[in-house]
Amino acid sequence: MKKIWIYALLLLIPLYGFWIVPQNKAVKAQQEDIAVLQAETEDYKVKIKQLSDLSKLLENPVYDGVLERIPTTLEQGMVILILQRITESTGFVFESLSFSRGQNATLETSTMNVNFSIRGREDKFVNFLEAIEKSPRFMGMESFAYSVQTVNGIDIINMSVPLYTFAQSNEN
Amino acid sequence: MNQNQHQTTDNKKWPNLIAAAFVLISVGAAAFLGWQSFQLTQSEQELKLAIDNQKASLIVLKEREKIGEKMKAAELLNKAKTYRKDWSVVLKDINQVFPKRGEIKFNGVSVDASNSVSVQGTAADISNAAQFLSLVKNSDKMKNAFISDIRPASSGDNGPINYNFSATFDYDPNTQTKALTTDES
Repeated sequence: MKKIWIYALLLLIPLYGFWIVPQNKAVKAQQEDIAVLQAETEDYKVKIKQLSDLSKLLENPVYDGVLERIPTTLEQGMVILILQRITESTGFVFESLSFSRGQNATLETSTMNVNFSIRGREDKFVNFLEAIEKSPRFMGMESFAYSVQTVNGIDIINMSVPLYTFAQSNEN
Repeated sequence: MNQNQHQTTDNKKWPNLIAAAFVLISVGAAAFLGWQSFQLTQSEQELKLAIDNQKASLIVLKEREKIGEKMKAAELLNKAKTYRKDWSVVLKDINQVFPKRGEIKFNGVSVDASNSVSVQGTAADISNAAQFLSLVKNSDKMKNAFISDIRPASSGDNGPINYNFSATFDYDPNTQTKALTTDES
């Protein structure tokens, strides 16, 4: 009987060495990992809640069409179509178009600069400027200069338009 | 004698009992640790799965609503509206101040970002060129007019009939414009 317990005690040495001590360390490590994961899942819960709230906020009409006005990329094709529509609808003819990519230091965002020449009636010029300002794509001019010629009693404007438009990145 | 023998036997039992208890506690602890490890592994897996699902939900939410892009676009749009100069308003104000184009006609207009306006105009009479200065002076949105030169544009029997002039003035959009005519000045 005495020997059985001695053997049992001897068997405990590998039990401690190979199971209890390493398993105890592993359990502690697992508990730490779980604490980290729980913190992470809580973070995600907060983020999801915030995004859901923002999503509700974005239902405000203020955000309607904002990505059309200032898109994530340059969307050059859309700009060309819009300019063609504006010049045609206001009775102007555009003669040449040139584009360049840039960066606006004040707004810290990407820009696409468009230079083009237009020709049309002087009395329609305000309409042309208004159409640019009300364009579905946000556009503007840093400055403007035009000259007027009278042709057959009609004042005709010739103008080189230095236009800028914004995008969130320089990619097209 | 018997009593002593019995006591000795009892004394010999104690180490056995302690050893037995130690063995049982150790085995129990080993079993508990195994069970705890199993439970923790399961919890860990559940949490990892939950995090994966949350990440997927976040991506779906961001993609569906384009939240980040919309917020940035709205912020940029607000700044851009302040940044942009509405030239149609500037031109309307200029047209409002100089409504009688028969007397003063602009052949060229240029406005820069600092609201400095340069014009090349034709005046029907030299006095109309002088009236240009009065119109600017009486306007609430324009000031500091200066004519740099006046020269005859064409001549008739009694001398020049049209005058070309070059002038500059400053445009200040933050004040109201008075509707003025050349007659009022």
